[in-house]
Amino acid sequence: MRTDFAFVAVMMLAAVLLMGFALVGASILRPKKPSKAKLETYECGMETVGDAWVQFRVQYYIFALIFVLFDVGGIFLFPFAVAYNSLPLYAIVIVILFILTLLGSLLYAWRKGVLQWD
Amino acid sequence: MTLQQILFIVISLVVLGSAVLVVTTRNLFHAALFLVVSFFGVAGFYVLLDAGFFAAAQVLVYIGAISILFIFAVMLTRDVITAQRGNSQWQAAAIVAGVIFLIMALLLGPFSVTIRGREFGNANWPFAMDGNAIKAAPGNFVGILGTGLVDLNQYGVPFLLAAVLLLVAMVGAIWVARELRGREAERAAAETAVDDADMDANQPVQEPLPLIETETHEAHDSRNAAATEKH
Repeated sequence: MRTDFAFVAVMMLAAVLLMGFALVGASILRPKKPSKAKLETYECGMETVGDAWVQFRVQYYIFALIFVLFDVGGIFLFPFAVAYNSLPLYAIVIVILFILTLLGSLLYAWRKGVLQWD
Repeated sequence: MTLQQILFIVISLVVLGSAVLVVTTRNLFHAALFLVVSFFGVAGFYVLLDAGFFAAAQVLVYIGAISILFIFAVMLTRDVITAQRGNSQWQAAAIVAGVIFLIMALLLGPFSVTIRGREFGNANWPFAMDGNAIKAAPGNFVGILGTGLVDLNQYGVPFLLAAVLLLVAMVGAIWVARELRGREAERAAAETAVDDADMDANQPVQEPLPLIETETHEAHDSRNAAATEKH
C-alpha cells in the first residue's frame, strides 16, 4: 500500500524537476532584454480597467457548499460500496436513509431558489 | 534513520511551516493557499500511516472542497487587498489553539496526567478502537470501515447523524447566504430602499431578485466608471 504511493511521490518529484529544469534552463539560455511592454498583462487586447480583486457573488459560495455536502456524502458512500457484497439488507436501508437525508438538503436548496443563477 | 523517518520529518516540516505561514501571512488569499499545502502534508501523514483511503478523503474533501470553500469565502469578502492586516483577536485564538493542543496531546499522546486521583490520558481514552478487526485483515481496511459504518451496533447511528449534520449545515448556510445576499442588494441599491423583510420572508424569491441583481450590475458599472476616471 505504502509502496503504491511511492509512485505519487515520484510523479510529484518529476513534476517539480521538469518545471524547475525548464525555468532554470530558460533563464540561463535566454537573452535578457527587459522592457516595459514585456511586463504587460496581455500581449494584445484591451487594457484592463480597475482591480482584478472584485467581490465574488454569494452564489459561488452556496454552490461550493453544496459541493462539499455531496463530496463528503460520496466519501461516506465509498467504503459502503467496497463492503457491499458482504452486507445485510438493513445496511442498505441505512444507506438509502443517508442518501435521502442528503437529497433532502438538496431539495431544500432547490426550493429556496439558491440553485437558480440569477 | 529509515526512509520512513526521513519522510515523516520532511512532511512534518512542510505541514508545520505552511501552518505557521497560514497564521502569519497578511494576505488572506495566500493564507488559504498555504492551508492547501498543509492539508497535502496531512494527506502525506495518512499515507505514511498506511491509510490510503484517508489520504484520498483528505485530498478530496479538505483540498478539493473545503479549501475551495475557504477561497470562495475570501473572494466574497470586500476589500481583499485592503484587508491585509493582522487579526486583532490573535491572542484569544492563540490561547484557544493552545488549550485544544493540550487536550489533543492528552487524548492522543502516549502519556497521562493524574488530577485529584483520576487519571486522564491515552490509557483511559474511551473512544480508542482496538484495531483487532483491521489487524485480522489488513488489506481490506476500507471494506471493514464500510461494514462498520452501516452496522447499527457500530457506527450506524453516527453515520446517519453525519447526514443530518450535513443537512443542518446546508440549511444554515443557505439562511446566512440569503441574509448576505439581502445585505449585498441593500448596499447596492441603497437609494431604492429595498425592503429587507421581503428577502427574509419564506417565499420564493423569483420576483424581487432580478430587479435587485440589475441594481447590483449598475452599481458595479458605476464603480468601474469611477475607477476609469481615477486612472
